[in-house]
Amino acid sequence: MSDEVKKANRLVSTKLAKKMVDEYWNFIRTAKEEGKLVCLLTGAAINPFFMVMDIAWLQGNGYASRTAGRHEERVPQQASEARGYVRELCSYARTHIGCSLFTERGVPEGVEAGEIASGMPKPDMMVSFYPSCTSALHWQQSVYRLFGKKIPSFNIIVPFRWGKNGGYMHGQEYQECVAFVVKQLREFVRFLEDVTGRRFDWDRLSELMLYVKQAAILRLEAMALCKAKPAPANFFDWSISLGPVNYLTGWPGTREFYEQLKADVEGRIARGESSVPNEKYRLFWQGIMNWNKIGWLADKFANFDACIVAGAYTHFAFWHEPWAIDPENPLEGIAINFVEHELNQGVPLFADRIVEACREYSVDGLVVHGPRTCKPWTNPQFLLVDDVTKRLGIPAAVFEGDMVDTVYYQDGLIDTKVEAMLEAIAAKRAQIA
Amino acid sequence: MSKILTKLSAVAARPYEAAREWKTEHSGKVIGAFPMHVPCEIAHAAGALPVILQESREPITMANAYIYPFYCGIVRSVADDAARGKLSFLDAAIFGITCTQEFGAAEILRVVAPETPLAVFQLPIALRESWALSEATTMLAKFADIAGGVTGQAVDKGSLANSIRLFNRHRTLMRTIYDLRRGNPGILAAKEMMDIVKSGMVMPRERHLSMLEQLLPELRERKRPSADEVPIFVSGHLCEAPPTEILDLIEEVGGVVVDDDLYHGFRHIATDVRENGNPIEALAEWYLEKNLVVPCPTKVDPEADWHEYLTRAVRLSRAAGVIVLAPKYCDPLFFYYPDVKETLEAQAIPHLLIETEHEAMSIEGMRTRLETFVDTVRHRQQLRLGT
Repeated sequence: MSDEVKKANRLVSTKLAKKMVDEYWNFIRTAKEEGKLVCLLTGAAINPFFMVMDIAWLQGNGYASRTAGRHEERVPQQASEARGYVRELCSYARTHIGCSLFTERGVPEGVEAGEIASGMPKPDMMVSFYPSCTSALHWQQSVYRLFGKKIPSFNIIVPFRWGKNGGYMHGQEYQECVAFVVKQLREFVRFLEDVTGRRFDWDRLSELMLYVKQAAILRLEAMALCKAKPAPANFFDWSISLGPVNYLTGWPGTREFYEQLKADVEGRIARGESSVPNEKYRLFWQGIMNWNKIGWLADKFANFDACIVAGAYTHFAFWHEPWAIDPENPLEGIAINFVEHELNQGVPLFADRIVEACREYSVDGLVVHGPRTCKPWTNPQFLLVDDVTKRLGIPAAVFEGDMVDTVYYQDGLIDTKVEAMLEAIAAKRAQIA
Repeated sequence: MSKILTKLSAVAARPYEAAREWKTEHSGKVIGAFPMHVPCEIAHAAGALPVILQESREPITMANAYIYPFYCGIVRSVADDAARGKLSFLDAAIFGITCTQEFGAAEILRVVAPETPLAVFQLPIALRESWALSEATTMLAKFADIAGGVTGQAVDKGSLANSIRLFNRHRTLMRTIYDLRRGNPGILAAKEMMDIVKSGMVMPRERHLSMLEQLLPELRERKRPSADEVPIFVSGHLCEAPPTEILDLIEEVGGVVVDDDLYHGFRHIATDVRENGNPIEALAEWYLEKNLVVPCPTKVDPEADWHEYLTRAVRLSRAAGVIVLAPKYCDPLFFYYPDVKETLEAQAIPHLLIETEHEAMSIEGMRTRLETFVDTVRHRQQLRLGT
């Protein structure tokens, strides 16, 4: 590793999302004043359904990430710990439950909670939709009980893709899973109609899903440009720019945002401008992002002369199969995107996709982030690492961390493990040479 | 100690030996079921011996190569047993997926025991959604097909109805024993009661039932040993059996366990299956409705609350305090625990949370905490009674 301190060459256009993000959080903050109903969504981005019904949606995991991004997470986490939620529970959940405690019971005297942590509106309805994660259901139920069990709630279950009879996006298991989610989405629409007293406008959903499809395609096209060597952008750029396909799905401006992002990346390729100053290693990130550390990690890997060219979190979810969406009949395409979500795949399916991506992106090694409090992510990791590294003949660096709880993060360990992996890559190259 | 209890305790201590012996004696098939809610009647109706998989007390070794250490004991233990070949006696294993971590165990079995057919079903967790009953019915019907395929003996309505009747009798008899204990606390040690239930999870049910029928008159003769102990309700510990050292400790420090809602306890035996009508449908209904009898924190059910049930159960049992045993990394339990805590505090029911671990536990540290708790509860009782 060089002695010179290097910084990642971050995509400037990611900042364009800030305006939309600020608009959205203002929308949440003022929703009640404007007479809108607020829905707490625990899970994946099915915002267009809420947009159709003029409901303000607040995604619990997104709220927790936002809280952490503003470094306000520790106070609500302490509040939930004081109530009895142990630290091994999902840190998204603990953060969000802490914010919910402030909403329902007020911020205790002497406690200084940040604006976001203390400003969560009380939901009028709750929906859970989290591929493969049972803790999300229990998290939602905890909040449901906290708010007195009075808030109407609905649960959509995404059946897990164990991988029997068929593969990715084909086979009997796949078809059954998609059909089951479609059935639930229809019931979900009836739930929304019951709660709001309004008819669901299917034409409006079609319009929104066309927009979502266009935005998603642009994002995937932009990310695919990182197959170039050196890569013009990296996984941290893509993580930062997830909002518009996550809690901002369908929001005005999201398609234009990804158009700009793609143009930015194309421009870099034309100019020969790379994401890391001196790309020597191309890596794949398996695992979720550490939201409190994202910028810091980007620079760390730049210092290693390593570019994280792709990752499961950004590339195998968040409307990653937009071509499956028929805007005129969008339910099946929506279901497909969540049935084939990264977290909803058994090891054989997931491993195949990682292997394919590593080949497409010319990956030299895997960086495996095991978030301490997220079992859907960590469940398959050791098995995935074993399978993928053997099939590709590449090394892996595995380290524990977390989405939004920094107590599980140890910088020294990451350095040690990543350096060892990079040395292994360098040694193998020297051998081949 | 009763000879029957000694035998049952021996089975509980080495839970897979009885299955291996049965397999050798009968050349039969054994179907393992990961806890908690898969109805074993189906495997029984197919002529198999259903064995509910158990957490071993041995340290985790090989499983550390397959899963992180911050997983609950039963997931790591089952993975470890599988990796070490200790589950090779299984002819199939079924997972009903109670929680996400269970997927981890299933994935590892897929890799380390590829010769063991796996049936992985996501039985409904959200019990009151409109599709829950139909989905449960469909999955249990598929399980019946798989079980029949494993044994070569198809599950038909008649055989399944017979198995349901047997399992109902079995549960009823264990509930009778529970009633005896509630009426005469101390006639069975907490460990003995747990051994009765646990051995019934792994032995041929007919043999276990017969042994309990012989045990019952003996238990009816027993008298409460002492009225001085502090009556305690033990709660929690889903999926995996609590360490017996802790149950013994509660009694050593002056407590007597009068009731529980442990999975290796009342939770497992509380509810019977309807004996009329279509048996698969009856089992699916049982799967949903048992949560109204003893609510499970792994389930999403707006009609049943574990904390409210616990308060009622504690009052009915006349326990003076509650010890909540919580396995480390058990997400469903720990997501629910704060509601239990607030409710017990609001009801002025003393309680103590003890977190258990698969490996290192400080038993002497627990002794101090349990002693203090039991003494505190005793003192409060005395103050209340003016004694």
